[in-house]
Amino acid sequence: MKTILISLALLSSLYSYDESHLQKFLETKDCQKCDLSDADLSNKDFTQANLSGTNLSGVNFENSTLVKANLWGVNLSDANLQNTNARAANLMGASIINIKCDNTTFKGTNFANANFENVICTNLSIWSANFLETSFENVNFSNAGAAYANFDNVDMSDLNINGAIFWNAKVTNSILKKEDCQYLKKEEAISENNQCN
Amino acid sequence: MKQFLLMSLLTISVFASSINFEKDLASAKQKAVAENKKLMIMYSTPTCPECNYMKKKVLKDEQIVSYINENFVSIILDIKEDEKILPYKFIGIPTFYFVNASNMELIGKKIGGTREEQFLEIVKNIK
Repeated sequence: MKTILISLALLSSLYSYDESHLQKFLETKDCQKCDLSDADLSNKDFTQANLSGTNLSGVNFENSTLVKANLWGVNLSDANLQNTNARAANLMGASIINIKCDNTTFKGTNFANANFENVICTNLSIWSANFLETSFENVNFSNAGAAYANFDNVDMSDLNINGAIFWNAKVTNSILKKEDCQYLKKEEAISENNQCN
Repeated sequence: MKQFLLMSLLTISVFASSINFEKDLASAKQKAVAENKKLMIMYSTPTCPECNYMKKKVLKDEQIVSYINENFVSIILDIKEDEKILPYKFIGIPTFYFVNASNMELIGKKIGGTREEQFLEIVKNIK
């Protein structure tokens, strides 16, 4: 029995946040290279928080504000960002895998060198967001608001942009499906030096 | 020939028209009451991309221009410059408020940017 309990305790410690890190973050909005995995950070204001390099896998940010937050290099695997406002946040180099992102605002957010995997968002807001050398694998941004967004040096072959507003978005030096190249033209996006396959 | 030229000019002016935005809220209210129209108040800033998409693309659509000018008196308020006179609280921009001008009762609201056809449907449903 004792062994089982100890094993369970050890297992849970492997999959949950560091209590001291969470305390520090809640008090200061600053916790770099911390472990906040699986923490419940929903319905809170983290405007201009600094979570650079932090493990945010499984974190619940639902209905929270991350405006202008520094999320450089964070791990957001399985995180819940539904109804989260991350306007003008820095998500450079972030791992954005299997997140929940319905009604999420990423207006003007920087996703340079970030990695999106298995992400399907409804009513996503990426107006004027920046995607430089961002990677996409099984990602669905259909019907998103993406006017004035920038995509540079991006392979968009596995990114669904059907119905998304791309008016005045700038897509350059990127790889796209042939139909998406035509779609960008129809949307009056600025398209330069792209490879349409 | 004269008639043809006149018709051409009229056609051009219809297609090139835009929403007649009023300069200040007080005169917009007065005008709306006098003309028996509703008020459309847009909250915006010059640097907001979603607002600019609405201003430069959606609000230039000829069907929208025609419907809005016929049924609404419109004004754009800058949430920073006009901060002190904003009649309603907001959570994001752009926000469109549709208002009964005589008592400033809110009769509709749309937050965020949207495509032309959806925006037209929204404004047509404002009663």
